Amino acid sequence: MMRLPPRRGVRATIPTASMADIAFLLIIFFMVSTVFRTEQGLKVFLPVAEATERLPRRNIVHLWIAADGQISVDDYTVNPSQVRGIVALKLTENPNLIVSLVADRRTRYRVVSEVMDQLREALALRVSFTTKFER
Amino acid sequence: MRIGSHERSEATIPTASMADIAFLLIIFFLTATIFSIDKGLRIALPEPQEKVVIKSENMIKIDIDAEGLVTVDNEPVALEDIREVVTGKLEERPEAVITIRTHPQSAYENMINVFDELKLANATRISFAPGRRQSEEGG
Repeated sequence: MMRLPPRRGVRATIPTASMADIAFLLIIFFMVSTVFRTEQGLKVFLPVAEATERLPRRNIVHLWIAADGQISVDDYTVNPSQVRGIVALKLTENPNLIVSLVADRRTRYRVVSEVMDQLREALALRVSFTTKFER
Repeated sequence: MRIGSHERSEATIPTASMADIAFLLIIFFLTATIFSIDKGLRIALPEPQEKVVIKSENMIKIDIDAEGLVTVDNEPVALEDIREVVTGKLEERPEAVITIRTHPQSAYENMINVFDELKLANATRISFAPGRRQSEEGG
């Protein structure tokens, strides 16, 4: 039987010196892209639409309408008649405001219509109906 | 008197755990991140003073009743067929304004479904008519 010479094991090493660099790079990415949740909103089931398009991230104010007609802006529950004043105030701060109506799919149209009238009177004419994209 | 040469102790910062700290921070930001992408159907509302009277022959009238049944120019149309019907009507009358009148008791979803179909039919002149006023509403 032939005897093999004792083999010298080659030490396998993974270079870990740059691991921290990679990790910090990822940290910086996530730090920059993080937006902390600012409002709670209401629980809504969004309607589904095929023509859903992306909105710019800035200049958006969300107006939540729950299925029972409850309206919430900046986590304050408001009456439909108060929407006009609140939105008008926000519009003076930012004239490029887009109002995003986050309404539940089962909401009665009456409430949505009232809110849209209020928005018109507040001259907030750039409106978006938040929907979920689904084919 | 001679002092025995003592060895200089090397100053080192242990970097072995650096990656652990970094990954911990990553995991924190990963979980805290919400990619806030707003999506929706955009529309420009008309000015409040504006009350454009649209001639009835220049208008495509869409009504949605409380149950979500849709009629286009008083003819019942299934939701899937709206796109086709409206596209056909717009070819005949490209200047036509589409007016959506929704029953106040109807679900918001019904209006969005119709509005979605109109967007897909490339209709640009859309207006929402309130229930009380009839044919006067700017788009």
